[in-house]
Amino acid sequence: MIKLENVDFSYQPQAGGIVPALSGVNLEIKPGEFVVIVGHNGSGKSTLAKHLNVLNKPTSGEVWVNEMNTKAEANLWPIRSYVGMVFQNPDNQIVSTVVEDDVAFGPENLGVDPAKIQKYVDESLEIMHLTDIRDSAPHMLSGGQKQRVAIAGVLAMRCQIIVLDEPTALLDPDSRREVLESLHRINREEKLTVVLITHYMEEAIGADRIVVMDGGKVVLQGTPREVFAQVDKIRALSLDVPMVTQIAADLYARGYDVPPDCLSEEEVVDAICRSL
Amino acid sequence: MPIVVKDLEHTYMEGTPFANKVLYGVNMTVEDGELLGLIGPSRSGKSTLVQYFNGLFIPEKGQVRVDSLDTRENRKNLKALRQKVGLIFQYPEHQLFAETVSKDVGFGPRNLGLDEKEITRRVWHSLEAVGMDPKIYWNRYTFALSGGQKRRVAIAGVLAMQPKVLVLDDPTAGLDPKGREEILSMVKQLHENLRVTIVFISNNMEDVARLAQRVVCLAQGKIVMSGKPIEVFTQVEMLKSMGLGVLPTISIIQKLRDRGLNVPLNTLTVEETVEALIASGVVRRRERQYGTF
Ligand SMILES: Nc1ncnc2c1ncn2[C@@H]1O[C@H](COP(=O)(O)OP(=O)(O)OP(=O)(O)O)[C@@H](O)[C@H]1O
Ligand SMILES: Nc1ncnc2c1ncn2[C@@H]1O[C@H](COP(=O)(O)OP(=O)(O)OP(=O)(O)O)[C@@H](O)[C@H]1O
Ligand SMILES: [Mg+2]
Ligand SMILES: [Mg+2]
Repeated sequence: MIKLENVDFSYQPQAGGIVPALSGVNLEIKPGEFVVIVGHNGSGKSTLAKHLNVLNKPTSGEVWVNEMNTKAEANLWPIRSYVGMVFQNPDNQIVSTVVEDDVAFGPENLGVDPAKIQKYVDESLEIMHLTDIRDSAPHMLSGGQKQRVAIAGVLAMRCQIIVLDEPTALLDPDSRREVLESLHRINREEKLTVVLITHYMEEAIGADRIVVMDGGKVVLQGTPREVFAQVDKIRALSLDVPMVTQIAADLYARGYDVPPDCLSEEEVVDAICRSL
Repeated sequence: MPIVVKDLEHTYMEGTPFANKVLYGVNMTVEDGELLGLIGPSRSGKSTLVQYFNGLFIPEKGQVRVDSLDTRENRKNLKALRQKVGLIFQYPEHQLFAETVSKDVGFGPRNLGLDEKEITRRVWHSLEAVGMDPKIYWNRYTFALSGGQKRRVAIAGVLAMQPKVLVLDDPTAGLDPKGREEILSMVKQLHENLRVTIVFISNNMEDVARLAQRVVCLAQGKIVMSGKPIEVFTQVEMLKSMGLGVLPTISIIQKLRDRGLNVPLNTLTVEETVEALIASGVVRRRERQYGTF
């Protein structure tokens, strides 16, 4: 469970004045939820994500992770072992020359009992379908595989919440699908809470909830269907709706018999066939 | 400035146990003034290939001619070549090194020995072209930018050199939809107004479909497809087998055709597809209303 209460945050680059990045953010994320955060460049997504594992602390307001306040020094490591982060560039996250060692790095760093590490690593590799390539060199892997290694590293730390800051931005279409499918799998089967930041609206379709940020504030939230039905509002926030929804919404706007909030190709195709 | 690539091969770490052959005899041409999209699965060698276009790599096997000059025979002129062929790297945010935004964008022009007035003018226009208001960002520290803002500044830095050929390696990754739109229309404008030749690498097939005049697909170190966007993006089986996915627009039309509806498979963008659906009469005007709409 994550709770942000009236969170304000400003960066203070030396001599460069103050850059406000979050203002009055209230947000709750429930255990087991799959939440996607979208918003334009500079809207505060990464700043918010970094509050979830104490890379940032609020300038004012409170952040609670599993009832632990991120302000208390003593909570730092318990929170970091509860909330794992995965970032955009897979190459910057790799620390070892062998996949398996890379996955073990996190729990070793947290001081997990060495007897348990092997078990956790084995399980995480299995869940991420990486067992076959556990002995490979990470730099020989595709971007999608590298991101799955990074996710396995978080699983091996036994984190309950995984926060991913644009993990698919640099990947090709198949790798993107591969990463997204594995996130849905760990959410469904391992009951992990997933917080995913992305600029690909398609990736938000399967979420439980979409949170939209603008100018450091949460300005809109709801199920994918609720959010993407508001095409004009979404566009006004510098965002867009998935291509499939665009087609349906455009047909609807021109007076045709297709529901405007379709989220999948099948829905559009079915609606067209039904209308005949 | 045409670029002609002949039988180009590339091996990383040649002669070591880690030798990794990436290009297996690439043949292609970038025509003068065209807007070319370069696609291909991850690790297919796209970024490797384009580094030959501006002389960062010089062929060991094969040949690369830029503006009819063989890059291997003109090693002394590489500096001039790099000025004419601007390369915006993948993850260009790593290229930012100056303290402030305006210093970073002005770095190249300053190196050319231009006067301060001209430098300021170029920096200003380049920032505007990438949607970063110069009035707000001129003195901003480069580290104090979001990921997408850094990317825009990096692109502005290459634009400020006013290259004749612009190679953009996955320039919209990590940009918000509006930023993507801005970069795409900026590329279009550079192409139309300034007649810059453009090579556009992308992992986002939507962007390539919207922008490119011609699409070239690299896979396993060779060119496997080349043609108009519509020709390439309707090669559904081929694209799937390479892991490049199929555009939802193409896929929806394909599914309707599979169900026996007569819709032509010749549209790529949302706008075109909506028109085609209406024109072919497969959608009915609505009588009943849906819920809250
Ligand atoms: N280290 C920093 N120092 C000062 N200001 C910063 C710093 N990092 C980000 N900012 C500013 O804070 C605001 C929010 O940035 P943040 O990185 O959270 O945005 P974002 O939504 O993640 O954007 P993107 O989609 O581009 O990654 C922006 O105005 C940005 O310029
Ligand atoms: N500096 C390097 N040293 C060794 N191998 C490299 C280097 N750069 C790239 N490679 C390898 O060359 C191959 C092709 O890489 P390249 O970056 O050209 O592909 P790409 O098509 O641009 O991929 P992506 O879509 O992921 O950007 C990959 O196997 C990669 O690991
Ligand atoms: Mg960010
Ligand atoms: Mg590349």
